[in-house]
Order: sequence, then structure tokens, then C-alpha cells
Amino acid sequence: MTKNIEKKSNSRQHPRFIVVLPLQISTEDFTLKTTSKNISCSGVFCYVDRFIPIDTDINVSMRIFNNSDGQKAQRTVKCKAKIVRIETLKNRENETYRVGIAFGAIEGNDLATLKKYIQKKNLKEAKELKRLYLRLKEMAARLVEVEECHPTAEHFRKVINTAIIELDAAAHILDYEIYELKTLE
Amino acid sequence: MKKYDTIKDKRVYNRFKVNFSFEIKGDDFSFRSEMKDISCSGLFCQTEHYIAPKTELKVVLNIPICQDSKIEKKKFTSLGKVVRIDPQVESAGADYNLGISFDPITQAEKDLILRFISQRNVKESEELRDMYYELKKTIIKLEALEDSHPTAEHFCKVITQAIKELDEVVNSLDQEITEIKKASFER
Repeated sequence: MTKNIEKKSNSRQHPRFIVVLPLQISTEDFTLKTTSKNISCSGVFCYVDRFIPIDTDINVSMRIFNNSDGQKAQRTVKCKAKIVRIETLKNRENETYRVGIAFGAIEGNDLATLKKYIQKKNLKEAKELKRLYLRLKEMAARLVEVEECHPTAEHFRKVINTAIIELDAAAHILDYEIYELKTLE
Repeated sequence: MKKYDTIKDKRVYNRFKVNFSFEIKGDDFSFRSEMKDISCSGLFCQTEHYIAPKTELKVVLNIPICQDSKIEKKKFTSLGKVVRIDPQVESAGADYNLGISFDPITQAEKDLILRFISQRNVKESEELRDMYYELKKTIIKLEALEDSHPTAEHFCKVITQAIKELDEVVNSLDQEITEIKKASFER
């Protein structure tokens, strides 16, 4: 099971997260504003209202906020990027294209800002997953008690314990992730 | 956990806590006692009477079983013998803790006892069912988290498998709870 998780982590070099950020896309010919739908350290996904051919070189600037409700702007991250995917969306009035953008080189400080922002976003979800894992552990403990009174509880305990064992490695990684993200904070 | 499993392995049948009044009969005595736990090989109860270890006796249980939303009394009798008798410390030596082992019983009788335990402890049945529904709700949360955390997908798969493995037993539990409630209401 641990192997599976490691394999998965390795295959996804930069995990994507749902993050809504104000985004500006520009070329020599146009400038347009939109918001991100999901983002990773290697690219961003958004909707735009004009067709941009694949492989078009663009400039991207993103406003990164220092808190999740988007009140205080921390800095604007700018980078060169390229359109890697575009799909037409039907039945949409304003944003008519779904666009995948791959970032080019991002300056060291900007990359750190982006990483930190994504990681912060990640902390809440990591904590939620950890909480779910701990809840399973509570269930297993309670089932030991219920087992004294109910014949079906033994089957429940075995199933929940199997689930806990299968999640152990992931929960351990989550622990480390939460520790690291808290340190960043 | 290992220690727990070792204890379990030594015991052929699991014991379950059940409070239930039943009858104990011997050659020259007969009285009612309060059962504290039961398994398919014996029971443990509390009594005011001292009965010497190895005394042969008969246990009579009028077991209420809920079937088709009606409660029927099914009689379970078994020959057995006293395997343990200890003064009950909590009640100043007046009462005894009594362990009785059954002579071997049939599979149908074993099934009857397990059904009785399950129906008697309906609160626990509900608790198990609630745990199952909590797992189902967890899946909804995890599906929402899948887009924002890579580990959520693995969590989702594991919990989905757990739910699948519990589906059948929860279905039976659900039916049993509904029947018991309906029978109690009609009474």
C-alpha cells in the first residue's frame, strides 16, 4: 500500500489544487483577465473568452493573497508561459474556452511565494484528512467495546482495522505534511 | 492488540453482555437469576444461591425473538454444569457470580442465541448502523476533497471498500432494527 502511494506521489510531480486567483494573461496582441480554477507549481487551468492557439507564448501574472479569504494582496507573481490545452465550452455565455497553461521559468522568489500559497491552501485539506483517519481510530476503539455486546461488531472492527492499516502510511505522510506546513506558517 | 487476539483465540465462542432474567433448575432447587453475559457454550449470571462447582443443572431461557414484526417467545433449554462460583464482592458477600457451561448445543440453538443477543442489544445495532452511515457521509466529504488534495483519492478508495464490505451486514441490521421497533410499537 505504501508503494502505491509513493508511486502516485512520484508520478504527480506538482499536485494541482482548486484555487481561485485573479489572473492576467497577455501577449503582444491582447490582454485578458480571468480567475484560476486550479493551480500547481507548474501550471494553471482557467476559463477565457477568446480562443488562444496551443503553443502560444503568453505572459501570466497572478495576484497571490496572504490569507485565504483574499483580502490582503501579498505580491504579484509574473512569468512566461505557454498554452498547452484549449477546449471549447458549449452553453456558456461569457467564458467560452477552457485553457491549460504551462508555466515557464518562474523567478526564485515568485516560485517560493506560489509554493507557499499552494501549501497553505493544502494545510486545511491535510488536517481534514487526518481528522477522518483519527475518527476511524476512534471507531475501532469503540467497536472493541461494542463487540462485547453485539455479534456483528467483530466484523465491523475487522473491516475498520483493515481500512486503518491501509491508511496508516498515508496518515503518516499527512502528519509530516501538516508539520511542515505549520512550520512554514 | 496481539494480547487481545490471543485471548480471543483461546475462547471458542465470543461472550456477549446481555442482561436477561432466566431460570436455573437442579434436582432439588429451582430459581431465577440475572444473566450478565452469554456465549454459545455457556453463560455468566448473578444469584443469591450457592451451588457447588460441577453441579449438574438445567438452564431455561424464554427468549423473545422478533420475527415478521412480531415478538415470539422461543424456549431454549440446555443441560449444563457449574464451572465457577465466586462471592460477589460488590454486594457484601450476599450474592454469587455463577459461571455455567452448556452441554453441546445444535447449530440452530447457536443461531437462536446469536439472534437473541443481536436483538436484545438493539442500541448497539443502531450504533453500528450509525457508524456505517458516518462512513457513507465521509465519502461525500472525501469526494469534495479529491480535487484539492492528492491523498483524498486513496482515502476515498479505502473507505469505499470498507463500506462495500459492511453493506450486507448493515442491510440485515437495518431490517432487524426496523422489525424490533415495529414490534415494540405494536405491542
